[in-house]
Amino acid sequence: MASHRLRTSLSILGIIIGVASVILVGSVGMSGKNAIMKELEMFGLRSLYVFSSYKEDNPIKRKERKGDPITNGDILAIPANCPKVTSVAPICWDWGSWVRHRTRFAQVRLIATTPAISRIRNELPEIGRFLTEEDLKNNRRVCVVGRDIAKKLFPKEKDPIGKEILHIGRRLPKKTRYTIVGVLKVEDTPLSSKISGMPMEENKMFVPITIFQRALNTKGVDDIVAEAILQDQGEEAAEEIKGFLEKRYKGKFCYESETMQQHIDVTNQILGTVAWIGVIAAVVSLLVGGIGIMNVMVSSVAERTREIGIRKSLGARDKDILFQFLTEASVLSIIGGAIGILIGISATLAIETISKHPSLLSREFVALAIFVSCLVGILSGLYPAIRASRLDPIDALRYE
Amino acid sequence: MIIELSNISKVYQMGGNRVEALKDLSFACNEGEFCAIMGPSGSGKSTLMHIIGCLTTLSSGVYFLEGRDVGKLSKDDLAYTRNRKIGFVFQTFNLLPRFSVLSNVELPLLYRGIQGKERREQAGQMLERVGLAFRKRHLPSQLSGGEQQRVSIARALVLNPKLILADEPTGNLDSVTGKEIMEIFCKLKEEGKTIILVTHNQENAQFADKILTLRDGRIE
Repeated sequence: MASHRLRTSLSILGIIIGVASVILVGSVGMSGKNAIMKELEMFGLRSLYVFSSYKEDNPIKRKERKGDPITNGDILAIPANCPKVTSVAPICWDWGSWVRHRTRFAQVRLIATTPAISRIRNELPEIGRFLTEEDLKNNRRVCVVGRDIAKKLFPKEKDPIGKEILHIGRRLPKKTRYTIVGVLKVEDTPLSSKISGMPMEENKMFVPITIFQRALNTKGVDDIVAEAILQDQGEEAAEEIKGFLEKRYKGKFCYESETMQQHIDVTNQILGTVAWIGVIAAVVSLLVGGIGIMNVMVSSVAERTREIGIRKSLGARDKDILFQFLTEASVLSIIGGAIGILIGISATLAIETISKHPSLLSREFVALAIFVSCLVGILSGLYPAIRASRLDPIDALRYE
Repeated sequence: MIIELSNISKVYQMGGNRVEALKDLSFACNEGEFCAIMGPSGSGKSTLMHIIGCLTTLSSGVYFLEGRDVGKLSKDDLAYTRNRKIGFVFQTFNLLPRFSVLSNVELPLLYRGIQGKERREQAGQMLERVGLAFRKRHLPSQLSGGEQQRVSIARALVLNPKLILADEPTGNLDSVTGKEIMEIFCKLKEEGKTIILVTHNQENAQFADKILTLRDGRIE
């Protein structure tokens, strides 16, 4: 083999690339997942939605199902009746409505709510302030807008606080003037929202729910946003609220819920799949490297036929020859594997440093790479070794 | 009788042709005997040698080596027999070119399962016996033909086999060196080894106790 250093090193290179890419792809995939999970946490992992839904098989007739499925009264009663819920906020929507300032327009998603939502959903103002209880109590026409809206309506001004904008509603019958008191912080998480299907609402506009309900003359609420006491109790807290509401209305309405946990699960699944596809691609390249080693071993057996004959004449058994060639193939792959592991680890550490995402390196994938490279060594050596061991001693001795 | 061949024949296929290398041949050799096999090329000398050396099987007939029927041995048993009972000396020396002289002599010990240190000691002693201890770190290619053949004799003898099979051992050597090698074989005979020598050389055959001449796969 020493006489074919180039050929041998090239085949080892296949293993090196394969092993290094298994580690790199695996680790980066896993850590990408971790990074996105961290981003998701910023939405508030404990937050949950409850909303009413229509069900065909509701035994209560449509005529009897009058009134609002969720009202202000329910919101007030939830904290006392649902022990797993820490805070709760009502929401009324006016989607696809518009705001205007002089000649500029922007489409908005109007969210009429209470200050509690700020904590539950991590909605923090970048400049100015969020809605307050005072705003609600005094029916102040104030709003907190997303940065996109602020940019569209006030492209030149840095600070739109105190400006008046006109809201043109779709559900709300009247045009209403609001004073901007805050602009929302933009979370730098475009990737996760795309993956999990959670829209990043840059065109949100928060207003006091009292203004909204008064305009429509209702005490009804569209959705409930709530927060569970503990991180993994989102589902249970949502069930509590649904159960409470169903009992309160004696099954007249049906409710559905959505928790952050569900989004996390979906994200996890998708990212896990992506990571594994990468790993499979890397493993395929490892296998290709194995074929390279097999090629080297097959030619090596052919070149050393005479040596095999001599060894057999001196008393080598078939299994001695088999073992010899298997060892050589394994040594090749283990050398390749070791170099590949070093390269994979250093590349991962380098990416860690550059991207500033710590602790990327995944032990599982290092273990997987070691395992697969040993396996490749044995499998790729097996066929040439069996061929070598079965050579007839006379034919082998006579081989020129 | 150390070797007893009765009515053996060997047929093999060569490029689609049926070649009958040995036909109904019987031959026996006593322990301690020096026996020369002569004959023109293609007479079946080498095939007979390979059969005696347990490197190939018979097409028909029986071969007893030290009273054991070789035809009934498994592949591993044949390897064991080659390792313990037979020492081969080839015309082309058949040393492994990338291994040192010492490692070449160690090979039979390796397949006997002897550990590294003892292996080196025994191989070193054997090289001393053939007068090549000072060459043990060299590669075969750095040695003269006569030296290489002495290394291969050392390798054949290292496990102290009863039977030495030499296939034209002087064929690639000049006459002076050839004579030296033949002297080694004579000395081995005196030590009680059984020697089978395949040769073209009438002079070499003179050292033998008996001469077997083959022609077309039969004893002439």
